[in-house]
Amino acid sequence: MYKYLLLLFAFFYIVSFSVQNTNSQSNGDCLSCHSDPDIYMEKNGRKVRLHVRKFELARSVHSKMLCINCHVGFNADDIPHKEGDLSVNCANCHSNLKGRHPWHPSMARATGSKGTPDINCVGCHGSHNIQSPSDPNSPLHFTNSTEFCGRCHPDAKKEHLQSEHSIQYVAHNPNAPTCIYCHKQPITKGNQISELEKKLNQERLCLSCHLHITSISSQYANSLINYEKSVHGSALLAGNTKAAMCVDCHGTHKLQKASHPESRINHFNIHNVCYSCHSEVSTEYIESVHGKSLLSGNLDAPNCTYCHGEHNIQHVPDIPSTVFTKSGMKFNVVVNNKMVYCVACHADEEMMRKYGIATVDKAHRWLPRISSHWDRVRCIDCHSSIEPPNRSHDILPPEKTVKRCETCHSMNSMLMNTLYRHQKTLSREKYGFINGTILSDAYVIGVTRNIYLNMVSIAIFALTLLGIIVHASLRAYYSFKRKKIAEKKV
Amino acid sequence: MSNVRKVYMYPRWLRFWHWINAILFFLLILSGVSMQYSDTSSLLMPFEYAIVTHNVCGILLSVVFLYYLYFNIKTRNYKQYIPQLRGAKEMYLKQMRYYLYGVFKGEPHPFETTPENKFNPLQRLTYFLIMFLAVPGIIITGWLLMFPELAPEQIMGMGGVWPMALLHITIGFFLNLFFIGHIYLATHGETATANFKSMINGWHLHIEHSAEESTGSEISEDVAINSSEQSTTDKSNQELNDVEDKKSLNQ
Repeated sequence: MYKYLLLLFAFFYIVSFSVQNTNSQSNGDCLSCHSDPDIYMEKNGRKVRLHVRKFELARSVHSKMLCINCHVGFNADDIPHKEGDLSVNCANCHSNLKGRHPWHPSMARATGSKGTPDINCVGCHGSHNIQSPSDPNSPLHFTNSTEFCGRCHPDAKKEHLQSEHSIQYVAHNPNAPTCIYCHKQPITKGNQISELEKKLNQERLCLSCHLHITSISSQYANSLINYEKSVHGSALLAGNTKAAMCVDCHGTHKLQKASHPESRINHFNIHNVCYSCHSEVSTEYIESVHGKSLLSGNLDAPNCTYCHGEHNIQHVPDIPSTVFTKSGMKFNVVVNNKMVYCVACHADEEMMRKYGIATVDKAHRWLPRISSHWDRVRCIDCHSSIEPPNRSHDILPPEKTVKRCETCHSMNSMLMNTLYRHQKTLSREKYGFINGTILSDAYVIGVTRNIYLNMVSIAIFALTLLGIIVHASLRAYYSFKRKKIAEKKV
Repeated sequence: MSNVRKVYMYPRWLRFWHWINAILFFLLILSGVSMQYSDTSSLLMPFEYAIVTHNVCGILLSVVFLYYLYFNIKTRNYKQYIPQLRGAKEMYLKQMRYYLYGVFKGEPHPFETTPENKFNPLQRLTYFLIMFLAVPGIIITGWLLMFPELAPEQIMGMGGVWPMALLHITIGFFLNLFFIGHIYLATHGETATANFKSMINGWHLHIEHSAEESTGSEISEDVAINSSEQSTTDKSNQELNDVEDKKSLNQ
């Protein structure tokens, strides 16, 4: 019993001592001076305001803390309280600052009021008015982050304000992201991650909303599902950091809808986006009839994505079946040869009438054995330049297209060369090396088309056969004769 | 009178190669002709099958050719193919005379077939051109048509693929003629089928003619007797074959 009493006494002693100790410098003591709006000090020739607004402190997350909890190590009686370093170190209480601020490496190194004011703790979180980031009034609440980050990043802010994300945010779309929403994820160089990791994180971030949140899935969700199967997506997943992912085409902060005339992905601008990687093809395209038509402002003119698709390349346009019955084309062939994109517009009588172009069916009626041509020859084989580099994107005006049969059906045909090589490599890509080589149904035309060569060869062959028959007959005849003579002898 | 004896002339590896080669040749000609003279209607073979057949047989022919080269070097059989240059003109004329005149008269072959000298001078020249010029040529051009990206981009201003195709088809055409000629000339053995048989069992029939002029009927009788003997001693033949094969490989 005596023991317990002693312990109780010791406890009260310690508590009373510690209370007495802290009370030695209460917030009231500090504010007795610092609530004065006119209190200043000189530091490095500058006037530093020392006024603390009482209500700011009361509203802050630190309202229940004492001034001396942060402003440690000074002498109350000695003014200005402390020699040398007067800065506050937030890291004394807040651990893992780096982990909490992964997007901003210099910010992650800050420990309080030290360093550049823009990127230390105080710079963003404030000092006495510090508020929880979850408080909607906090400058750090994600709704206010655009404004806040924009203080130091005015360019990014300016771009972001033009973006669809910002427009949606202003329109009170609860799903619209602001700076902090995206930058909380490791998506920048500052995160000290590899380029590939960065790009994969960016892709995941975009898809986390645009694919996986069904309420905001766009009309492109279907094609987005297949992004990873597309040439770009599969290349990225295979570790190619040059492969295009979301932001490479859509931009980073200035993400505008395709309908916006300034948007990178606008109908009239998209070829510039593709150009950044596929410069040769894009140059060829822009010089083609389609490119020129696009530059003249024709909305019907096909752009890169019309044929190649946006996120995937599985897209097959809807074509009325009468087009196939009328022209004799086979649907599967037309899809496999990618002619489907050409046919989609060029079989549309209404659209073609608008531009004075004959429909695909009428324009090719002059071709003999039309169905064989449809089966084997792709639109671009005749309608794009066969001159090197021959990237099939410079669709030629009608007067320059291949119309002469000899261009293909002759002995010396560069086109035939290119096509044959193309067909062989294509079949190897499709069926693998061995099957593609053996089962490829490509065959060099041209040799067979020389009627004189054929006639001469058949003639020589026939003469050889004739010679053999004559020789054999003579042999048989003389053998028979000799036999007769021998019989007579016997 | 004549004396018939047998000489082991064609070792097993050679006979195997010969017949595999013959089958592939036949299929290649069949499919090649179907492609070359293709039209909307299929000729000897439907176009699609012809291409696959041609590709597969072409690849196999290349493999078999390598096999042939290997054994030719190993057994020094290639020496048989080196054309004789000394007195070539007379020899060729002599052989030609036989084919165009002597054969009708029932004259014996002007050059005797021995294991050391299997071919007559014309055969030497033809087989040399066929096996070491035409066949490698058609194999190389064939592979280039299968991998057109390896063919020269341009040859004298023309696309590189077409000259390859032309060369391929030209060699193919002459090989086709050779194929027919070869089969026909193979009937010039002691009997019409003797050479075919010897290419199957490896034994060449050799008839030593006596000073007296022999007649065709006698020969065929002899052979008839001989072949019946042959069937009864098939087993011993088989053993002999093995021994001879080993000998030829150990050379």
